[in-house]
Amino acid sequence: DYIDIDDTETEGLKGASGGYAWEEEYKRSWDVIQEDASGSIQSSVEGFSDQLKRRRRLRDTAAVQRGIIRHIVVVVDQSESMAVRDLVPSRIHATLSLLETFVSEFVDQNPISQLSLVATKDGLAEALTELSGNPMDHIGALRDKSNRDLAGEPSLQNALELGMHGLRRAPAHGLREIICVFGSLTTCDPGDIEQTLQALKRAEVRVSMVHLAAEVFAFKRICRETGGRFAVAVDADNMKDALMASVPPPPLSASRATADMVQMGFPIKTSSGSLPTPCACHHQLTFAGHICPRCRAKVCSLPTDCDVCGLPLVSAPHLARSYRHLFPEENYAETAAANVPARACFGCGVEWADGGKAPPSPRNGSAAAAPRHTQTRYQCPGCKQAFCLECDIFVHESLHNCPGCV
Amino acid sequence: STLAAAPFTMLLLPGEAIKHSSETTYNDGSGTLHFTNKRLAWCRAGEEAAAVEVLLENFRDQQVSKRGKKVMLKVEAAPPAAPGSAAPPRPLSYIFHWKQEDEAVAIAERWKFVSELSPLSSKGAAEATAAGTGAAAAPAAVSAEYSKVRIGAVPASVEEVKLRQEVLSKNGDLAKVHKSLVISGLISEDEFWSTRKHILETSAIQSQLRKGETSAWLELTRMSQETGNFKSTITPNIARRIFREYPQVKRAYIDNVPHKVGEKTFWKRFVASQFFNRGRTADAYKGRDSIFDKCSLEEDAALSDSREANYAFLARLLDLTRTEEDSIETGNAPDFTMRPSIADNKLPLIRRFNNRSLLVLQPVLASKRRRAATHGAAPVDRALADATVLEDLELAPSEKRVRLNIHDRTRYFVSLAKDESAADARAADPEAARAALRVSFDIARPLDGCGDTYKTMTTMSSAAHRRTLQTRPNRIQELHIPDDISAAIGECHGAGTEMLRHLWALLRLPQSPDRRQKAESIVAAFEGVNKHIRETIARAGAAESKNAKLGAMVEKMLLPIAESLRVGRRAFEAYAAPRTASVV
Repeated sequence: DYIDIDDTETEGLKGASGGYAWEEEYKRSWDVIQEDASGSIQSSVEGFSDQLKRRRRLRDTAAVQRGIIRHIVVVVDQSESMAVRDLVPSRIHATLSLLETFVSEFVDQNPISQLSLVATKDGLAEALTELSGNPMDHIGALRDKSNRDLAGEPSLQNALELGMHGLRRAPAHGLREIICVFGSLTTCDPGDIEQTLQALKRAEVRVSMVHLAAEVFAFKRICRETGGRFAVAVDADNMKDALMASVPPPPLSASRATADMVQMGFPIKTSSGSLPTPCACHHQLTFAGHICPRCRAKVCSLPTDCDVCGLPLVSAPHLARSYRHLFPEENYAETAAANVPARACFGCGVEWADGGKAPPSPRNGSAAAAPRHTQTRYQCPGCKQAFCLECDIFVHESLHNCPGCV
Repeated sequence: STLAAAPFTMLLLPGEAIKHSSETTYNDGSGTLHFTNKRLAWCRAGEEAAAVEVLLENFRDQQVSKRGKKVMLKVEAAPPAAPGSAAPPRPLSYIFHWKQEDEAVAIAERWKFVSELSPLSSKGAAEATAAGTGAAAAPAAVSAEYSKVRIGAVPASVEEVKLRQEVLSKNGDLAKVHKSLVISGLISEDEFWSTRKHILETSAIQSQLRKGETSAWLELTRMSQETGNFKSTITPNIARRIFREYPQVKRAYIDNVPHKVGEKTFWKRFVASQFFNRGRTADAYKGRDSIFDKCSLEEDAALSDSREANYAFLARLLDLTRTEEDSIETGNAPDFTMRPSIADNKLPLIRRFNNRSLLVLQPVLASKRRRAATHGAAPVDRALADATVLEDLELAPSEKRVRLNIHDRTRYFVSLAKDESAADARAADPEAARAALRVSFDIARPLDGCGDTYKTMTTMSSAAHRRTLQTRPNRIQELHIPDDISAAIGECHGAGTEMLRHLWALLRLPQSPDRRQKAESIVAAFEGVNKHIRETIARAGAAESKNAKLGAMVEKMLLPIAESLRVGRRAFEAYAAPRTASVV
């Protein structure tokens, strides 16, 4: 006979009152941690560490050519569908505060790249900021209260056209990307978005999108054809992960890789002691600044393009931060306890718990004080030292240098 | 949207494109009437030059013949004023007659021209935003200007000046710089904007963006007020959407407004009519209405028409992702419940939804059909093949990456410092390394055995003192520079920076004679700035101020800009130097 899909049991989706999870009005975040029979939350905590393990396995540490000089346009949807309250306090608030984090993270990890913001509402698009590497411009624009006003339907075509026009100023050796955060399932376009797609492919612009509601075929197609990523955010954490996945520089595809020489300046920091001199960027008197090596104009902060001669000005630490993406730390290998002679983790010095004994005092009161009776150590292939899971994650995500190899 | 082959060709003006053509008679001679983007022209049969031509600028008014008689169109045009004549010229009129056998076809052909001409007529211009056939929306009045502006044209056109004002009003920093440089007379307006073209371009592109037609269903709700009357709001936007949705209302509008019925009365009658209030409670409408009853009859006739649908562009693909659950009664077979003439009362609604979908997809359909028409059969086969590929079942293609080939990676981390004495830390046991850092102290007397704390404290406090001195807020005021001197410093710096900016922008471009000339003139202008600098220093030296060393100070302050000018001049000389054979 016929099999009716609606009849099959889907317990996983049922919420507390017996309906589906999406029918619930309040999200019961405490339900995620379940107590087992003896009242301990052990198993949930192990679930967290399993998640961490999964993430470290997915890390990409191949030594490939990456696009380090990037020019990206972030498109924000300001249509009425962003007033829905499924992200707290509403989608637009959550998006704007997440974008502040994204902008600072992006500028931190890609110091020689530039960013600009475009908003779309009511069928039109508007450039909020110009391409620049200074995060304060963008964060100021994101914090502006007038950006919380929502109206009409968004227009993806107008936003992409405006973004492409802004990216035209970017030099050819840089990567051009457009990252969109959309909440609306429709787009109100003046023409055929197929033409825009062809124009994007010709200009080699990569479009990625994080959608807050559902997968829309037209958007996904645009992202796929231009080589970008399309993700649907299930909740706030998911949205953050999806957006932050765009922060590390992407690998270059074989067709695009051209080796160019790029002229850059390394200005010297000067402080003129007791006398102020005018700066070239704001025309104000300042005491300290950086002198452009080509035209001798004074700029206030790095990294930037010289206002007078247009030379990109960076400092050595900025370049070093960019290089770090090219030489990532190798993933540590999981080994059993028997292969490792050390008594304690090389990174944090806390002794291994052997045979199920919990360590005498937890280092901190958080749920991460689970006993390490998991018996896996993580060994660096270079220096052969053993690390625990937390140190592994810390080294790979924040420190970027192995303490044993250095 | 040009016809594939016009029945008779006509000599076209440069840049002209024919939009509509149809066979008509004029003055008892048969020929073809063409509507192009520049004019309305009629050619006699067999001839190529237009016998009758009305430029769209001269077009004034049109009138259509009443129903039942011959299908005619009268076009009034004002001829261009003859020079030297005081009296306004009499308008010329031309009458075109459609003599096709099928009256419906003739009316449809005439309607094509009428709908194109109606927004252009002088009376129609006022209602253009309400009955407009264009796609421009509310910002159209502003954006239409900027679409034609060529940024950088000298002297600046009116639109560009307006664009500049807009950009300045939106951008505070730029306005400050503009004020200090242009308003004070240092640089001309054109020069200021010539290096900032990209800002103008972004602003122009932004204002050019058109708003698309929304595909939401038109909700014509009425609000009932306390007195029992109903109130509806019809904005030009809503009026446009009504015309798009119901072409009969548009026809009625063009026919009746403004000669027979005023615009307000038209809309009042529309809201009150049965046409508008179908499906609502009976007390809403006020009885018969001559205009709108005709509209509803026309619409019912169009929707109940059980003619065969147009099968020319039917995609004959089977939906492979469809399952039996989608349609329980019929399964995968063609849907027998959708045959027309079985349930006549449901048909108009279904047809209305279908027409609406057609309207929404129109821009995309037109381009797709054009592509299909030009490329022939092969893309259709490819489209069929593509439709059998289910994306969810495919593996994601892995991108080819480029390996990073660096010979010796360790060289990137070697510092230039010669201090290689750092011990091989790998050998140490972490315990031993940490033991070296261990400090034990008694919590009750923490500073015991710490050495000379007094010295440390004095060092730290003097460093803090120095730092606060350095960052005190009024440092600049304390220098007591008189206002006119500081204004002069600002001017020197501003003028010098602008000129240098122009110079460097020119130097970056490949050489050419007029660029070289421009660069030369800029470098010559440096002399003026240098003179200004010298004057300022002299003035500062002679000025009265609390600061005795004002002259020397100002000279030091202006030193960097003088240095930049010198560097710029040297770069120009290197650029302009005749190339020798060895230099590539």
